Amino acid sequence: MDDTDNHLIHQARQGDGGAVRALYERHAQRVYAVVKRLAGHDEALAEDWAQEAWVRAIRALPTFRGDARFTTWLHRIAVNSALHGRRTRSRKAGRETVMDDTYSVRAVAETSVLKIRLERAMAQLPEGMRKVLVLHDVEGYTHEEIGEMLGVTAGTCKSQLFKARARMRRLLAPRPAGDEPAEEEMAACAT
Amino acid sequence: MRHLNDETLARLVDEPAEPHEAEHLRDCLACRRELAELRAQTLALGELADPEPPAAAWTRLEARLRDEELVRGAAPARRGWIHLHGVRAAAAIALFLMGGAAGAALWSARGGPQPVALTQPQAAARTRPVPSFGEPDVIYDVPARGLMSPAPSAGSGARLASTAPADPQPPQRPARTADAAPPAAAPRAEPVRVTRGEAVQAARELVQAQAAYAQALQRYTSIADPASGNDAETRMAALDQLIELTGAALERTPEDPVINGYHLAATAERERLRREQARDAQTQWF
Repeated sequence: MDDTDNHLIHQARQGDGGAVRALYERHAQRVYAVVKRLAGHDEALAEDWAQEAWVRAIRALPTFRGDARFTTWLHRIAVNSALHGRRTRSRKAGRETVMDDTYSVRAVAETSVLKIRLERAMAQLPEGMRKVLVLHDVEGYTHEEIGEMLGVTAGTCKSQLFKARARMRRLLAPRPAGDEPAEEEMAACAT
Repeated sequence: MRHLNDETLARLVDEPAEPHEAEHLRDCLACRRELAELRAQTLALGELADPEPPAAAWTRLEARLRDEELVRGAAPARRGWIHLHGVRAAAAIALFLMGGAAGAALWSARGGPQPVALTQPQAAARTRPVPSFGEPDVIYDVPARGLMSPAPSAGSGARLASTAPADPQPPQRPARTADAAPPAAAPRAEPVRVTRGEAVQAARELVQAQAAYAQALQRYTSIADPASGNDAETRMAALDQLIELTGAALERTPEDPVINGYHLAATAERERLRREQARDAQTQWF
């Protein structure tokens, strides 16, 4: 485990506010990123989930044995907070798709058009597809890990992932004739 | 023949193809292209930068942690080292202020734009945040009467509105638009802890760089000034350089109001000079 994290965790277990803040500053961006994408770029929801993840993590610090890296452990808590938050929210409020001002002109200036389009397309995916795509293609979890988190089989996870990738592709580069390649491409296809 | 469907292609991004699928891919350019696009898409997803959490998120989290008695005592101020994010923020503020001061100094030293009384809406607009792309009717900290206006300048940071321009211009829009291809995202910066001495040195270097930049702007501004006695071609060349210089700077700091001001003012002056040259060409037919 990272020596700095190790030291900070030791202090944070004693309730040291400074150590908790230092841990937050080191890992907040990673935590926020995953929950924000799982939230479909709903910033308020993402902050709620990130906060929940941190509270859970700080509460659970005494049980952290250091078998895994702190980052990995914390990331998993963040994902679980988001997935649990999503389930709670779905029961309470039903489905919501929020496309707010996340894609501000500031973001346009700071990142590439392609990346903005990717983020937007992800936010437009149905919830189930988005979760699997974010966890697999963005965060790098295996199908088995995702299946465990979501309570589904690895096969179901794969199926959702392939649907999500295909949907993303259509969102990013819609074809003129539905799912089929364009006519000129058809002509180029050897028989 | 039937193409491979989207979900099959999506599977082939990271799984081996069945023999019949491999055979089709060998023969079908369209499906090969589609698969390549899907692979590029998947690769790009894995390279997305992590967004920053909201600035106030820690404050809210800290309050909750204290409510739940998960932390105790005041969060101590860190001593002996400074988090680089803080240094960046401080440097940005310093540059902003220095840029405003440098701009004002340039104009006042060489007889810059005339201070113009702010109308009520303009005065209200002064409290608006830094203008952003695509935002209509933004007002910049800009020597908007024209780069070479002869009247003295207002103080540092004064917002100058072109209430009585010599050559009425349509409202200026920001130099960069959201439609323009933005620069590639910078690689994710890892938090770096530095000593106070290193932070001070970094800030000093930034200030020196800013001073050099201001000198470059001043040099071109002086050359382009109608009062300099330089011929129109020389002034035009200086304006071209000034526009190029500030344009390049805006690629890195697109929202900097001072650089935007210089850029827009230089562009306006170049247009004015062009019109002047065109008028001269018509009247001096002999």
